[in-house]
Amino acid sequence: MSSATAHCNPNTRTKTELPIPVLISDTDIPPFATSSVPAGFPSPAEEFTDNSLDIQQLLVRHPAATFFVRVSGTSMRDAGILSGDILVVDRAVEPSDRAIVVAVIDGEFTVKRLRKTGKKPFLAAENSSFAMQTVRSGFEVWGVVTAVIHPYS
Amino acid sequence: MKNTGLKEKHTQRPKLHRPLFALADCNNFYASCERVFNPKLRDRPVVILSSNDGCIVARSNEAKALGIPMGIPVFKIRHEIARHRIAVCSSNYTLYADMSNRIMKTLRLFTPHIEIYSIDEAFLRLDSLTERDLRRYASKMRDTVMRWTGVPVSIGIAPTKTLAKLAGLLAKRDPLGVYSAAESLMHANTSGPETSSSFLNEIKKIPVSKIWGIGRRLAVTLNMQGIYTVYDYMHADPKWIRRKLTITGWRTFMELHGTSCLSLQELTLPRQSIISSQSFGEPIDSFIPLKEALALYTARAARKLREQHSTASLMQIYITTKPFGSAPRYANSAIGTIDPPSSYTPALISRASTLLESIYRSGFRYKKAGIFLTGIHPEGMQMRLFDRYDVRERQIMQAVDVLNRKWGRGIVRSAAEGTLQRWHMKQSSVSSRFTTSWDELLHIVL
Repeated sequence: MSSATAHCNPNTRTKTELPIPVLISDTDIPPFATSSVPAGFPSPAEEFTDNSLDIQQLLVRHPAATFFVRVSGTSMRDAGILSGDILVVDRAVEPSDRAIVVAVIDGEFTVKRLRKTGKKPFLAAENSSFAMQTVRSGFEVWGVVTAVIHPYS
Repeated sequence: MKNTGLKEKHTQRPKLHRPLFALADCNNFYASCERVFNPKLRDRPVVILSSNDGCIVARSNEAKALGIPMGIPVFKIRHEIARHRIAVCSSNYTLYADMSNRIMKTLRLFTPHIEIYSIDEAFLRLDSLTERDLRRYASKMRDTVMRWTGVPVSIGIAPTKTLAKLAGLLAKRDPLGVYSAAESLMHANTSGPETSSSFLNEIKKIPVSKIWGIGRRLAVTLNMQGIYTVYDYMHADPKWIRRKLTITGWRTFMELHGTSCLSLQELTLPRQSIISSQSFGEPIDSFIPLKEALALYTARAARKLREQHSTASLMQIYITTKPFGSAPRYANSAIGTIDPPSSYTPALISRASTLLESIYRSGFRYKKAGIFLTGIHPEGMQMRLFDRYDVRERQIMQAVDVLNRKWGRGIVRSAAEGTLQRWHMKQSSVSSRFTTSWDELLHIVL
């Protein structure tokens, strides 16, 4: 009982009842020495530090709405989309005329150029060595391609 | 003069002078996520299996309409699956979690006051909106989430969270996916809730078990008192409710009458207990693989602890055979303290292994193991004077967590988890981790 009061009230504490904190070092890790000791001149660039560039900032405008897909095939070669490329697809972007889009036709994904010039929008492939391929109806735009990542290996 | 004119115009707009909650609830969330990346599933009934491909844990509307019950073992509906061309997906929680984050991020653009209530539900505060703008704003929110993420949500709006939940149920049936109980309840101030129209008619049809916080067992008690619908509950004897259903039931009563008692929990509090358990793909009949499985679940639980910057001081483990069937049955659990409290994976695994040794019996085919951590304290808190919070342990685990985050879960793991992991969960038809792994991106053939 008396030790309990001793803990609560510093005025009545006695040397015998309260354990005296002792630093016991049983490892080679020094306690509380995690930061380096400041010495020498401060860096003249200190005021000017900035974050390194992050490629995500450049390629992804709407993180919640942006997806990456990988493509194979040559039907969009003339638009600069080659087999093995990764496309950045932003679902928040309004699909306008001439946008390259990921579209769904009969439950299958494809990537084509969206044209909205005529009465009805249509999708067009871009490969001059093929006959002009167009899809006139029954498609749905899934997202707009905003960039192509083309790895050289 | 100009100023007063503006002011008058402003006050003329009808404002709702009370909190306004919206519940945004994803429709058939798991099935909807699968459909975003596999449009072929859109016109088929879809069911999602539990993490071991055992039972149905989620269904699309079409599957619900076919009468496929929640939780049924998949082998029992083999014929229906074939007959109705039901698509069967293993659960892909990695994908669902990422899609959930995207949805919550999108909702946050509409208000900073948001409580993420579950993987597919969030409460939002929309107090500042006028009555007229409310529905339009909710529609905009719904359309944006749909366009950005591909997942349909319904939005229920009401002056309390409990009512918003009910409005959310009605929103599911609404062709536009929005239901507001706010307008009908707004005028309740003056003339009592009796006068407000359609919402009160609707809740005469909703069973009492659908009220947030009223479980199946409590619903039975209420039914015995002649309380069958939400409306009945609202008009039950307040004294009886206070006495029999304690403060929780009373709060529900008040909330149903439009007095907000439950506030938005914008901060996520650290969980007070952490569970990690799983059924095995193949039953385990020897000690070593059982110990390895338990080590994996312990490592998972320890990671969850560190994510919320906590340590645990109490551990319970359990093992069990199949609870039914003709094979010999055995189930047992053991509790032990973790002293000093820790989130250091090796320490927890060695504790779990000791506990396992104390309850393991040979000659059984084990189906499931699990671990439960509690006695949660904030990291770095000294329990007694001489407890030393180990800096080195913490640094090791930080490095492990960073590596696993960067290179994929399990790239660095404890040797105690084993390398064969034959008992690993069975997942025969899991979709890709489209949004979290560069190796599993959606593949489109041009």
